[in-house]
Amino acid sequence: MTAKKKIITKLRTARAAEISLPRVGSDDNIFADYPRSEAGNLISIFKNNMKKLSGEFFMVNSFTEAAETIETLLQSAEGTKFCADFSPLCRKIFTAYPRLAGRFENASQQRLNSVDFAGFAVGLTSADFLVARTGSVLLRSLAAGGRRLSVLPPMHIVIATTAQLLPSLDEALHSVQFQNADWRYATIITGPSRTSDIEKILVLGAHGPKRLAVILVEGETIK
Amino acid sequence: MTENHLFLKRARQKSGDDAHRIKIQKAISTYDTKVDEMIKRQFTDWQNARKSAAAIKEYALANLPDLLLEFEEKISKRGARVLWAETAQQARQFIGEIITRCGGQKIIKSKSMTSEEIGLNEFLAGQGIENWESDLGEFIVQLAGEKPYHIVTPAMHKSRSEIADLFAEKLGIERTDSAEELTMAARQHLRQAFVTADIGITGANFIIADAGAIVMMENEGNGRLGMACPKVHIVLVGIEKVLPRLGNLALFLPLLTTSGTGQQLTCYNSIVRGPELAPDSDGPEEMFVILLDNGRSDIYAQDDFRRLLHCIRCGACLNACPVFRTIGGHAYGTAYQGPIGSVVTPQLRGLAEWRHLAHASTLCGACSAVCPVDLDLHHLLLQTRRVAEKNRKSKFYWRMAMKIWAQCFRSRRAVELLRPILKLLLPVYKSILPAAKRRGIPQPAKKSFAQIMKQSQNSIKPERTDR
Repeated sequence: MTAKKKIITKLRTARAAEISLPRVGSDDNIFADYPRSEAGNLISIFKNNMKKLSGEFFMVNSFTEAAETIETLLQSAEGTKFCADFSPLCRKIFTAYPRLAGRFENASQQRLNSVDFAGFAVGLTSADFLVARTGSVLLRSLAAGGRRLSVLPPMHIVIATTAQLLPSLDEALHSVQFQNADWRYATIITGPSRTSDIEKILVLGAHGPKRLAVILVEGETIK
Repeated sequence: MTENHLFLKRARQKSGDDAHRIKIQKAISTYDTKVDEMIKRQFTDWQNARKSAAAIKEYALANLPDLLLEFEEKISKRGARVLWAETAQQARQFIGEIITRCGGQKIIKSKSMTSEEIGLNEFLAGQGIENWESDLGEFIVQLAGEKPYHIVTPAMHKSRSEIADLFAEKLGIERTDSAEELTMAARQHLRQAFVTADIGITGANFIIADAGAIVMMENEGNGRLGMACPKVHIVLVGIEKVLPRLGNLALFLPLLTTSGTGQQLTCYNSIVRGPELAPDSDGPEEMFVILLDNGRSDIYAQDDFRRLLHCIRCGACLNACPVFRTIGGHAYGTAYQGPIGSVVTPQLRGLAEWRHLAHASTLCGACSAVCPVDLDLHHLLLQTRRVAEKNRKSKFYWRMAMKIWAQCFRSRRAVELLRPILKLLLPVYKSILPAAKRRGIPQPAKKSFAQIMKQSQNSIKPERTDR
């Protein structure tokens, strides 16, 4: 008998009485800090939560402004080589501000290896969702230039539109994107990489990005 | 020396170590403040959240075989390979075979207590394979040649200056007392390992049945790098870590993080459903998930212990435990320390050799009070003692003594009769009991509580209040 069969047989023999899936309240019942106010306030809640985590937040009104913000951020980066996911939103920004496009390499080029990614000072990606309650960014690798772009460079810049901002994690995990699409890797990013392993002292930039910046574009859509 | 003797020796030594006590006290009080604040800020009703989590885990366990098969089917469809390991030895063998097959020379590892359970580091060292622990705390204990001290905070017992000495000696950096500089030294050192490693080995906090996914929670980014850079990703996970639905994470991620570190969410929560495949542009070419039994199905088969598999390994019971705070994590000599370790270890590694851990408890119930999945750990500790005692052939004099003790303590009158006799025997205990020699025996009061009560009832008549 294979190990699998043995384990499953053992579990089935010991199996307990049937219980049905318990009904657990949704995030608005469980969490005291669930954003209950009107949607406009989600932005300020997201911003405050991100700032608490030492993340950087920028609110802009057009793709051109988003591009200008990115350009300013690049000036404070640790190097001069940058990489982007060239997602639809990213392309919109580059189209609105063509001189920015030339400064970024495309993450989906097959020739790039991990050493190349570690050599980029900035990874620019789009996101699937922003979550106001926790100040988090949700992204799937297929929508954000793969697994390495958002973790190897020392600065991660995320671009998103206000339509992607949700109150809580619950809504994001139950979305069509997360429930139905055939993705391989997703990550929920909450602030820049951190550790408190030495005497519980907080240090930013343990292994992942030391800086996380979110640029939220209001009044524009990706389509 | 038996495990019991080793345990007592280490515990005795640590409990008298003031420097150790101060370090642990400081770390845990920082933790306590953060957790209290986060529970208040975040949860409408913490008790209700714990009960909900327990109910979901109960459902998951009742349907464990089906959910495991559902997970296997779904993640296999996306190209990952699921391997079932009955024992620690089988799991190590799987890992050894994967390494040989892909010709791996260098491994980067994320923090995984399950890998401690199967002795993976020792196995890899024995095979002569280069293997780096990448979580900062784990990296520190690896450099020091030690074992993790705590399931969530592996280097809790190391002071900044001890780490400074260690890094100066082992990494050849200039000695610095700054936590930031020390962290950056580790970052730099491990960067090279990440971009050149052939295989990434990680644990998993959850298995999600309906999504066919594994979930890994971390703060540093080392786990993400370990499953993004190397060509092969191996996940080692216990079969009890199952949640039925992806949506369950909305509760379990904040719950585990709050209890684990007092954060709202850890910095990175990664959900992985397979290796690289178009349209993804990167990620490992191969992914293996090793589902480890290693005694879990035996726990599952015992009605009195099954709920032990609810545990999500947050470490809250360690921090709350007065025994853990006093003797420290290394005294246990196990992969899992504290109250949870004291119940799990006798189950996983044998009651006969590990039963003593169930006695390393004051039964104060602090562990049960803080458990985010509402486990009654102190009852499980008692239950472990009970089962161990039943299975063991104790000495005749011990059984007789216990019988007499039980008889006497059932009757109020017998206790009263015995009291003066026990008092008379005091000098005898003082000379024969080792504990009495070490700590002394307090002088008993002249009058017993019962006597005082009787007297006061006679002298003081309660005032009558007529209305």
